[in-house]
Amino acid sequence: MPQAVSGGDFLSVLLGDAKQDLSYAMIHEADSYFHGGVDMECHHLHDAGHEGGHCAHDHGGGHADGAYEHEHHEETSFDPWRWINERVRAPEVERHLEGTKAVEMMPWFWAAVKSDPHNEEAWSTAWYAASHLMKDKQLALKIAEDAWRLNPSSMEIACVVGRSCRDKETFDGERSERMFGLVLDMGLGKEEMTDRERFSFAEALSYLAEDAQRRKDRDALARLLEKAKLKIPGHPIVESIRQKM
Amino acid sequence: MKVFLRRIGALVRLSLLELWRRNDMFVLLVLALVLLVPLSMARPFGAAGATRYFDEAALLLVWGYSLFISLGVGGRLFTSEFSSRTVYPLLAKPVSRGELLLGKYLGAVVAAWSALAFFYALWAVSSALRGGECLSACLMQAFVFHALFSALAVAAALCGSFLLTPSASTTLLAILFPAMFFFGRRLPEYAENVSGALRWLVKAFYWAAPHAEFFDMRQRLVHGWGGVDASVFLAVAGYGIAYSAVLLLLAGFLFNRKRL
Repeated sequence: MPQAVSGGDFLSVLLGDAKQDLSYAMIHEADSYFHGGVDMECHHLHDAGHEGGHCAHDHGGGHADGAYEHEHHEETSFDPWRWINERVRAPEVERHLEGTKAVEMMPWFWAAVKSDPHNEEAWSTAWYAASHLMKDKQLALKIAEDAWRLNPSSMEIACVVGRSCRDKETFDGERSERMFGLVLDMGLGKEEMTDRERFSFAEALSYLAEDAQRRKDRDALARLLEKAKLKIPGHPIVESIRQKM
Repeated sequence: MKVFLRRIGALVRLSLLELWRRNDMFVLLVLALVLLVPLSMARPFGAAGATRYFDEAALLLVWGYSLFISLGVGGRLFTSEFSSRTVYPLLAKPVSRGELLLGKYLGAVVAAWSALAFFYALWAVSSALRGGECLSACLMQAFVFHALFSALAVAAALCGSFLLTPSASTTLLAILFPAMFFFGRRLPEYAENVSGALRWLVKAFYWAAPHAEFFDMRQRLVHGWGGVDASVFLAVAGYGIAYSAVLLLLAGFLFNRKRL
């Protein structure tokens, strides 16, 4: 049976579902750029090769002394090819892209969202890089707007737009509140939320609760608490809203 | 010795002329411009200032081109001489088969290096124009590693041309080198995930296949890590020279056994 191709753009026709994999590969490349060009998956696979090859990487400086360790394999069996590879491909000092240098990641995020415009993770990570690493709030808002235009039913993207509208440089309080309200409406309309959607739901609740507390609007807080208890009863945000009342 | 060097020198000069007289280099240059000029003007999300992706793409092109040139010049060294029967007048002169092989190999390597130097010079100028470092120790190391890889690829193509037909040999090497370049370091992990004879086959391949990825300094260059330690430099250089020498000896053995 012939496969139906969703969308009519060139990449959809050429790649089909592979465009999603391509999009995630681009995010992976952006992540590698964030770590100064180190492919964290490969690097850790090398370090953890004898434990089965599964190793999650963290962004919080897992290498306490800032240097990468090479000794692990030398304790077991010496492999000269691995010895060379690890030394050619791993920097002596761990570095992260910060400040304006984070712009180096943008081409990969751009390629990721071009490959799959519905990759919400790519959009939100690009927004995060622009907003928090580069501190370019205008660029962040532009990314959020583009993402929202292409993903009008995404809770995560709506949340990103809402957050962008809370920044001092791009402040639009009314719109921010409207977007967070939309996130809650979308969440309430869903029977089951994904983990990412639950996170966005909780985030929207948190921002709206903060605003309501500032206005001393107990009724609004009570409504938010009801919504939280209904959709994410065990989440810490429920207790947080209760404390604000 | 002087005569020997003069003969080798003449063969080197011939190979150099042959490469630069062909249009390959100019076609590759135009292709590079067609690919890289639009890439250099890209403003992802309207943000300017990103350069590393461009450097990486340009260096990847340099790698692709150098492999194309190395396999081309290496594979053509004797096949054209055999098909046009010009090898007979060459051997009729007081040149031994060993000298002919070494001279032609060195000529091909020098020709491949001249193309490589040209591409690296363009890369360095482009980097300098964008505010990067024009000449650095890391760039020098990257060039030396890349040159050693080119010498290895020429030796492999030359050796392959005695074992297989020229097109089969070039095709096989054009698959082998990129495969090793991108996946060579992951072979032990693949070996762990398969069982039986296949595991031993993958492991044997890992130990014996030419590790093109050893010579890849792109990440160090693009992300400004700096050069490798002297011990690593010597290990990679030693590997490249030893591997090329073994292939050249094998090619010499095959050429000497060949009935003309």
